[in-house]
Amino acid sequence: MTDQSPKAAALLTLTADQRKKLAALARVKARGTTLEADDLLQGAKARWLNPDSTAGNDAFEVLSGAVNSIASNDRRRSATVRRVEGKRLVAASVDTPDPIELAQDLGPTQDDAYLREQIYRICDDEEVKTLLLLLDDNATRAEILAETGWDVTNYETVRKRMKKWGASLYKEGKL
Amino acid sequence: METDRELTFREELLEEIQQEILSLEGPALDEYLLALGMDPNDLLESFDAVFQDPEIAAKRRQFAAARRRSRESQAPLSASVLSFDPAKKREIHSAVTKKVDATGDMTIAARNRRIESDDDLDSFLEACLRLGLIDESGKLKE
Repeated sequence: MTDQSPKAAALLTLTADQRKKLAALARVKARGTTLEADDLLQGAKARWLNPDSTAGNDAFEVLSGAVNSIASNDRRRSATVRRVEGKRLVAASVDTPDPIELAQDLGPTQDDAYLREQIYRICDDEEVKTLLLLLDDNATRAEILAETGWDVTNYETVRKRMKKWGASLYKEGKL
Repeated sequence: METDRELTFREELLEEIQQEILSLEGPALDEYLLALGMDPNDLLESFDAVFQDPEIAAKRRQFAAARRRSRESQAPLSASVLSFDPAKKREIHSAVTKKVDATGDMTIAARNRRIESDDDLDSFLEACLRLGLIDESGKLKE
């Protein structure tokens, strides 16, 4: 490393687990953005090494926070660009526009329903399946508690298990 | 994660993965990453490719290799020296002691230099073997 500043040196103190976590986090956060995982890591590195940064002194905390925020900014920016560009194409093109450009994103509700369906498909936990069905009916938490007889703690536990099942969709590229 | 809007279900699931990754350590972390389809070594390489120049990456690899060798040297010994008869073992012990006294390179401090049982003798020879003072046949190394 040619930069011998304390901040550059701090990067060498990151443990193997911390380096794995940051790389994994970048891959997870790159999903649904226009960026690659390496772009997120590069951006985080630049933020950490920026001498004017007031982000803090803990390299791992700053880098993981930067990965999150860069991905989040990109996602927001892309959503805006898609909306604006989509409208402009319709207005400006004399030919038929590329349908992909005009395709609307799945709204949260459609996307949620798709993911719940995918979890239901792989899940063998009856309580989680019950929760998925109730969520699919747009049941509120109060309605779910009333329907199932769960208390709030039990409800949160089942939700947590549902999310763990959901996480297994990652490997299949469905998240 | 703090946010000014409600997370979508997809974001909640990704958030769950993120929290899990951040909370785990060591073998449990590796196991979780593999379950997500991420190879821990591949992750390290991709991190190092971004964060370190080749020289530093090479140094880190050398350090990791040295640590691995050190761990391997802690593995149970299959040394033949430990299966020698007690007289032969005492002969080796005596040779090591003489060499140490003559060279002054090191000090034998364990058990105040007394060998009171066969177990003591085995422990002593095993330590000499690990330290590289003798080879597996009991010969003194230069």
